[in-house]
Amino acid sequence: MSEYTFYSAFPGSRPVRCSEKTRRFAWDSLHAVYGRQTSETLALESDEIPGFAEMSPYARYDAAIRLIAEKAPLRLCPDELVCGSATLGKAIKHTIPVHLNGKCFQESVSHLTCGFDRVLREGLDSYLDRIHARQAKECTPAQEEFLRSLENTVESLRIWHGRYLNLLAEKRASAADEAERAYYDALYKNLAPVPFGVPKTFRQGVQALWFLFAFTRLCGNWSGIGRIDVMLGDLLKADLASGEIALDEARELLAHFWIKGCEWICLDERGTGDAQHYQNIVLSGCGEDGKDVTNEVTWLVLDIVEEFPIPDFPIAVRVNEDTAPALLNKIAAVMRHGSGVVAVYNERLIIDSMVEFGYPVEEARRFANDGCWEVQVPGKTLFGYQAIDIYGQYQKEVLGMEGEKKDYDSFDALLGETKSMIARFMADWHDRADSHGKGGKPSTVVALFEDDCIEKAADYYCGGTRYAALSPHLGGVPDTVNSLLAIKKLVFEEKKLTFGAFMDILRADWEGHEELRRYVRDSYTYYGNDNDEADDLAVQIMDTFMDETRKIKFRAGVLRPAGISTFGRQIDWKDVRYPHAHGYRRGEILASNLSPTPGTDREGATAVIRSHCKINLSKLTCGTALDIKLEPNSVKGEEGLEAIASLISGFVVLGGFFMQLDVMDNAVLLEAQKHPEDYQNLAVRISGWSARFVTLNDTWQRMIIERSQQAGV
Amino acid sequence: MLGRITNIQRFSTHDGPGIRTTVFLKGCPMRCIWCHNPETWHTAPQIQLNATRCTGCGGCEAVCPAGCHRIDVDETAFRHLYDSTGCVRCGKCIAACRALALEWCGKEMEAEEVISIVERDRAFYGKTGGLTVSGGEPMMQPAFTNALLGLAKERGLSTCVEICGVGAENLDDGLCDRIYFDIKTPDPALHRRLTGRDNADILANLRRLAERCSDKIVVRMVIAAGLNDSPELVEQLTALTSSLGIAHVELNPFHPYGSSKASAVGMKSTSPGKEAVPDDRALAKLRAHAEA
Repeated sequence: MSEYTFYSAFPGSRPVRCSEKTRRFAWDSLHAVYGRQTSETLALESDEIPGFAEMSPYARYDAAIRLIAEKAPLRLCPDELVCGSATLGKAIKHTIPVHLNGKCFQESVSHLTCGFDRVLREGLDSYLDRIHARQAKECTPAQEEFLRSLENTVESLRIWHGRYLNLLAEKRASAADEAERAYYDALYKNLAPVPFGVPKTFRQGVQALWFLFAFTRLCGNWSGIGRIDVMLGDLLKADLASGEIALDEARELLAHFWIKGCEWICLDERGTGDAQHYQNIVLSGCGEDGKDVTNEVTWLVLDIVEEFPIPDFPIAVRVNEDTAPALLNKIAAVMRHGSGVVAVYNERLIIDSMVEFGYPVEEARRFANDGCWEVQVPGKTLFGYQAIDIYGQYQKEVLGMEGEKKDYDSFDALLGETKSMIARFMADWHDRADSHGKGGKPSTVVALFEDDCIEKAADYYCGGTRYAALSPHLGGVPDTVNSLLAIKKLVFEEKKLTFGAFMDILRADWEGHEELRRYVRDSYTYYGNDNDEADDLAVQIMDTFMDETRKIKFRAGVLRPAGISTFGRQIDWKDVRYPHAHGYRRGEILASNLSPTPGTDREGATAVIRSHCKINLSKLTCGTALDIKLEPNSVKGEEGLEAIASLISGFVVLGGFFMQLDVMDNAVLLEAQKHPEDYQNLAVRISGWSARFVTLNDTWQRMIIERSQQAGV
Repeated sequence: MLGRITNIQRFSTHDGPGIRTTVFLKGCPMRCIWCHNPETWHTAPQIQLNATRCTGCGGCEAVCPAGCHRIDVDETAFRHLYDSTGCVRCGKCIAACRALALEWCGKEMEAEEVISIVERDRAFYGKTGGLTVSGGEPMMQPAFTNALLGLAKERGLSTCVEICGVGAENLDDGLCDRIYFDIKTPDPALHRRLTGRDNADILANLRRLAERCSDKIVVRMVIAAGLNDSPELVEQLTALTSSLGIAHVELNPFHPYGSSKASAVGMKSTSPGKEAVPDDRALAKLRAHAEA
């Protein structure tokens, strides 16, 4: 029994594996004890640095990073097993937490997964050797400046590292008893050799990885972690074999990594959710040699998120047709508690897609992600995406909701014009994409961990990384498809009214045509019901988008993998949309990502997945997500567990890309709105991230509640 | 072969192992007072009202020759009162409903057509999921049920049936991977009170099936508080099942949703209310009792 109970869609059913101390640590962290501490010091003041305002961008950046390393508050949490904390509040706001005239002087970097794996293999000291070797070669003044900045980053990290070691040494010296002395001594010994040297034990490996991640965060950057089981699996295996560590101890240690990962939770602000710092982690799947990498670390991570609803590291498990049933069941067991901590990738489809796109197969097999589900090669990629609102464009340009009224004499003409519009839009987009990665603010802290930046002596935004990718992210496809379907049926097949008359009804937001609105809404079968007529339109629209994007896979140094997302943009879009041909009024809810428009899918989760998977997602190299929301009743018992595992298997067999499945009870969410104080650690999947429900504002909470639920009977 | 279908439910997660497609047949010989699916009682198609869609226009009331529909209007709201007692199943009200609030419940389908729908979710069945034939009572249409099970087996799908025991002598158990056999109560007198009929044939059919394939049988009993939730009844049940070599017994809680389903097809509900839902602890106790 434990004093601490964490939210589950099945109250009281989470396993208790960690010690009571660790559970208390998790409880405190999830209840914002450390996030609030972090917010006490928002940023450091640059006043202490003479001439800061007048410095060159790199000189200023370097001075700021050094200031952070020297002056950021240090924090040791009670009983923690892993040291280092990102303790400056403005870092939580995606800025470098150093003030110039009361404001942070520069934005920071996100949407990447740093190559921490290489540091664990080679040690940070070897990075200095690489920098010095490059300095010995011919350099332009700008390259010299960047290489100095890289040196400064390593040295700043060393300063911060030294401060923690000094603090631990002081604590050890002033320990009240032998147990306390031994505790600080152990922490000291884990931290001292890493990350500058290569970790020799699992404990050192966990510490090194956390310390690197915490430093990049402290400087404001939001990096992903990547494939943690690949990075730490061998260390754990060796330590378990030698008796250096027991499995329970390893779980406990790794749990502290997870708990510290939610040290930015504040719970005091409401918006798009508080756990959204893109700290993505990928588990399982194949290694560069194509062999399965699943190891004890994979299982320990799943153990931890089964015990604690910590969604701050969004986890995606790479699965394929040969994934062990036991692993599928474990994923299902975690998913069933709700909170949306774990999602799944269909890895073979993704690897094949990347290879076909042009990546070497070994690189493709290393894939991880950033932010939500955007696939990239970690530690080697400058990544960006641009949101494209295709449904808005379709309403304005194709339906003629703005400017000159449009008319079409056949459905083929309407569909043809929709496709032409997408083609025109993508041609323009390719022209704009040429300038990606051609210069930008200093970002040395992340460039240090990106392959080729040192050797090319070029920064993250200046062509330093091995790959630069910019992805067009289309949103609004399901709404577009449903609108097309409704017009096809009503105007061109049933001929109940003309295209022009129908558009006039839409312009008037269905005023005076309530019966017709209900007829259109309720009698047609839309995308998401495994109905070939509707789904074929989705296939055609998506093919047009993917094929037009893939006409130029690489140009001007920029890879252009197609992707789909709305993340949460559909919430902003809905208020500026015209009324919808599929029977929805102005302002009604829109589709998220490539999931059905809420309320239009009526055939259950399997039908949704089948509709989604009719689209050839292997052409969508940057990825997309399918959101599935199940109610707890539909997945209770052993049968329910089996059902979730079967949904995942089916998703893989049918050719899905990325599925985020959450289990939640709308009645509980409504209660949480009324009594937020009782639901502080209830987390829900939002899009590529989860968040504590109580930190969502009203609009976002409503979106989660209104999202279709695939009931199951 | 044609069968009378109430509906086909994909992504069923509680009608057998894995993900299943459950085919609910129409027609049942029992009249259990707590019935969870009263819309499946009658073999013939019925007219079903989706009250949330009704706009209160009165179109149905105007055309119904039997006076089944009445729209009660007061100053602030309307109520659609639907009593299907005299319904002649002419379907005029469905045609008149522009809000799509009225529709047929139940239709005839070919077994091949049904199986093609079941096959759509093959990717999700894996080694465990598949077809479940439920009802109503599948054994009201034994030839169709056996045909459906056979088609599923031909396609390598797992098969379950959910039966009440009446007519079970006609079930081709060789085509079933699992047979959910409902025992409403082992006590004959109580059975008559709760279901409107005797249970001698049901128990005889259970015995006969158990002799042939006891390992396939899962006996299920719905527990309704105050009606059949005594430990003695559970003891009687487990004494019976263990004497027949049936290892799997499930006690499932009554839920009151049948009531709204009855009113949707214009029938008076016989279902008890929420007070008959057994509380979790009481149910757990009975389950422990059954296991002991």
